[in-house]
Amino acid sequence: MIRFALQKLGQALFTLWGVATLVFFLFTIVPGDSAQMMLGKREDPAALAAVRAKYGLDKPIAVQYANYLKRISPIGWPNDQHGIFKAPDLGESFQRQGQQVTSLIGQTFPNTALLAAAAIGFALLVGGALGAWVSYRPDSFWDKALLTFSSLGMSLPSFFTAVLFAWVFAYLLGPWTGLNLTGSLYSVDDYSGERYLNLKNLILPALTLGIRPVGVILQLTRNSLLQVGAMDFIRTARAKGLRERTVFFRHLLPVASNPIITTVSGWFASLLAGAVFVEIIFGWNGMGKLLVEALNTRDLPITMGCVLVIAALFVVLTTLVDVLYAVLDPRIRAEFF
Amino acid sequence: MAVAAPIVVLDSTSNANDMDLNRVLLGPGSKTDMGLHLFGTDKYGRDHFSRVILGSRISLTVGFIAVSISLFIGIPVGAFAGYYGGRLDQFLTWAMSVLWSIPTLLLVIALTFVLGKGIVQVFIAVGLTMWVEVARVIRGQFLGEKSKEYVEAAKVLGFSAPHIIFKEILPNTWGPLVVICATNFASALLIESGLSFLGIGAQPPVPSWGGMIREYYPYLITGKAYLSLIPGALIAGSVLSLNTLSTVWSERD
Amino acid sequence: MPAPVVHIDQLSIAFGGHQVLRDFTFTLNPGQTIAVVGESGSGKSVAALMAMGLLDKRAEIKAGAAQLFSEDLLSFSSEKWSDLRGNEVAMVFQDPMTALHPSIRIGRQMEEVLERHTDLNRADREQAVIEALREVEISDPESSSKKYPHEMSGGQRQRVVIAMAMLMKPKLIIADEPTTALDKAVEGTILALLNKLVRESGAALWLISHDLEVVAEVADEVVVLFRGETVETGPAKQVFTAPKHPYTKGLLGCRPPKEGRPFPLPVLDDFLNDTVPSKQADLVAPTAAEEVMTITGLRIGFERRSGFRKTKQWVINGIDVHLNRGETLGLIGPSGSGKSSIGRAIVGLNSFESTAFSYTGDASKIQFIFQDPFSALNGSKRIGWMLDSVLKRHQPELSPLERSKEAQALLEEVGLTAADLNKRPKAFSGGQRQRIGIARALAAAPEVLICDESVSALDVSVQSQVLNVLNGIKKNRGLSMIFISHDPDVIRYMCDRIMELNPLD
Repeated sequence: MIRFALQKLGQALFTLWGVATLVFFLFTIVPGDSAQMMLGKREDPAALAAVRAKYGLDKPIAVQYANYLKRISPIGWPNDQHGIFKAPDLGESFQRQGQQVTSLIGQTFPNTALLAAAAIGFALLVGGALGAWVSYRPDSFWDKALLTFSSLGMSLPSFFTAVLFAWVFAYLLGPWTGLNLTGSLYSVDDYSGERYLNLKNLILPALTLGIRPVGVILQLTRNSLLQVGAMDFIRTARAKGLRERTVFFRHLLPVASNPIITTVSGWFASLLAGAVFVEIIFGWNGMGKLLVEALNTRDLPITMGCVLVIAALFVVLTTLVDVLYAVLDPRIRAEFF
Repeated sequence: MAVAAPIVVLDSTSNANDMDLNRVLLGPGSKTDMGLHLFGTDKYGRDHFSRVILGSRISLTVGFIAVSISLFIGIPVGAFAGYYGGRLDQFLTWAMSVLWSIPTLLLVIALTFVLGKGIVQVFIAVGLTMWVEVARVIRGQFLGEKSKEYVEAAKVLGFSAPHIIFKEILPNTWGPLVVICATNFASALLIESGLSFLGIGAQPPVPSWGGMIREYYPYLITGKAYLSLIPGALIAGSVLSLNTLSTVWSERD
Repeated sequence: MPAPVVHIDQLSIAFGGHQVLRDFTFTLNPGQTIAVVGESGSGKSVAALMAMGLLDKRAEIKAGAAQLFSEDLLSFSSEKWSDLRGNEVAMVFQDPMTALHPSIRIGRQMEEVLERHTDLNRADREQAVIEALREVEISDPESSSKKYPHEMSGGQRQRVVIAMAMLMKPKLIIADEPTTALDKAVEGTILALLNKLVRESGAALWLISHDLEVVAEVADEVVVLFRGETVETGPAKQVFTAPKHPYTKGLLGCRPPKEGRPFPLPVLDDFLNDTVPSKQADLVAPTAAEEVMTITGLRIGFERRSGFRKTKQWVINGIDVHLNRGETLGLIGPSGSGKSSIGRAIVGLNSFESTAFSYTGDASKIQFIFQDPFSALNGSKRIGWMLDSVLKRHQPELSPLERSKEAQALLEEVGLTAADLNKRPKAFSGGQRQRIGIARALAAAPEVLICDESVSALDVSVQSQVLNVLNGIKKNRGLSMIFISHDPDVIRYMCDRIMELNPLD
């Protein structure tokens, strides 16, 4: 078990290093001088040289790379004042002078994570339940209808769904639903200036972001349940006279949920990226909005930071799920003990 | 007149970028000296129908080029990793998992940051990220196929590795390959429209569906909803038909 | 006369318009054992699954009536079925590996039956499970009940499945090919155990098998099915010793005989058309001993991980193999004995060590016939392409026209026709595919042919055809052969010399 966990951890670290390296080289070969980018349109050779010196851009690539790894690593170097663990340093924003990327992402990430979690939760609940329901009536009318609907849901680009939902639910049906066209988790009261929680604003963005996952999870659940349901040990469970409830929850679901959980965990990270559109359209103050603003102003550290954070989250989640399944599955457990 | 209308419309696609500020935002079915405007005109007085039709060109081209690039890289990488295994496989799998860790949309955004804004950059960026999915599928197929007896038979019969890889095994991966191509085509289309929506894909005045939605979604609440609904429906329709194709293909015997 | 446990009258079942069972009539009395025998596609499992209420939803019952404990089972509600199954009727499945849930301890899986059908408390349930495991002669039942299926051998797993079926002392037990997935060596003991437990409990046993010989030992009566139709019924001993229907005769007559090595073996069509050859020549071992291949000190091992260490586990450790020209050498042994590894090592599919390896010809003159007729041929290729590419590789001097003539000749040699060149593997049956595999090996003009369980996946009635083809080409081409099988009868019939292998510890 320990060997398996260590092996997975090693793989994860190796992948993370690869991601960090890829991101570094992608962004250091950016056409255009990053020092110049920081200064904007100003033409000032002295200032340019000062910026280069400050960020170490005058050093050879190898040194810059080493410094970069040192900065973003969450583990402190020996002889460092940070101690063993430290917050990764993702640098300073080019355009928002003096603002640390780490703190910018720290402010926006929870909003996006909440949005993505709400979307996945909604999708798991609805998609999972409907998928399980139709798996008991394959090729029936409802099966075909739901498969068609889920395919349609999967085909809608999220920015279009966002526009559509905003228009239909917040504008056309606005008087009935009481939902706003745009808005963040926290609203500022017009009179007192106080921030207050506005969970209502989560509904439309989460629904929009969850529409594709609902379709995918529905089909995944249905197919996985049908596939596992055709296996011999399920027939054995029925031959024992077990009630269908027991067969489903104790024998079928634990095996069939494996591909679903694996897919969903891998997906969470891409959903954070996919939240970009939803955040812009609904004015949700999250990481996606930060990223698009950074793109438009060519703010390199923020873009790099967002990519790194999301990729790291992906690696961490998939590794966790892998290890978790190994703990739960006696076959894998035996193999690595 | 009725017979002539389609011809006029088809002909007018060549005028998709002609602006005329005298005929801004006309309703669907309006007629001007340019002919019939089936979907009306946009805010620069351009024929919306022509631009929608031209938008398909961008979407389809992105799809084709991205899928071609992804096949060109993905097939050999996946085949060699799956067939040879060992250190080569470990290295290639690592490279794939690195690229796989960065969501496609983000990777494309990062690449366009490097390569600059524009439609050609989108082609390349999408192709360069999607090969991973092709390689994963092909590798999985090869892992499954290579232990089958027909592959062992080919080894015993003295055939070379390239013969076994490309002539014996590859034809058997055709089914999943078609499925992944259709799916990739669909996601390329989605990514292109998404990037254009963000303003980093096709640059104006090139007409693209995503760009049109970007431009016209504020018009939803002015009663001109069709301006953005039509391109949106077309994206969804294309993606749906591609996804349906891949489902039908994967379920055929 | 007590009421029958199962009574089926003129039952017909179809799947999507395809009739799989026709006019099936069957009566099973308490304490009786009846075997339903047939080959693949005979419909032998369909009726049994119906009697368990486990028939696929797509199956249509066309005609007939079926009673379980004198009640119309076709009208049972799912609630009623759920009360009966595991309680009054129980089933033993073919493959114990897939029949048990992979990630639930076997004791727990058995307890579920008691949980469902009794009011016993937890301690009593555990006790009953251990008692049941003891009855099926599983060593150390207490610790075995805490094992997962993958931690047990195939034979042990099947004992668990039997114990699970016997838990509630059901009145009817249905056993669907209970020993087919097991090694020949354990097959007999498992069947004897099942028979003993059933007799002791007084239950009725409905046994399903493809092997008339195996079931004749335990069954009171036999029903023989052929393509969905009942061709013969009667007392087991009588059907086995004096079969009446040509198909039953064929089923028994196609098996390699216990004595003598007549060639050719009769095939099923001979019995159906009444053209059984009367006088047959015997296969004989070559008289002159001219060595073709010698391997001494052969060692084959596999890397095995335990914890952080890698160790090499030997399956073959220091064996000498030699083969004479024109001879058939048989390798026999249970699974894990490494018999297949030897064959695979010789053609380079396994790595191996040896002190000396000598072979008179070049390596490509050793060819291999595989076990599984379905995966041994490339499904996406036409037969013509397969043969042509081998000919191109091994006889490059031939022109395309000569190659196509040669391919045709090869197919005819194994009893197929030129028209088959344009077909893909899925157009052929298992036996035909196996013959195509032989033709493909012949295209490389081999001197030695290694057959690894090459007829094991085939129905009995098809086996003899393939064995005849193998012996035919061996005779005509003067080949030497290494024949690997777990089946003692086939080995005895085919081979001039036999090597017996046993698993190493």
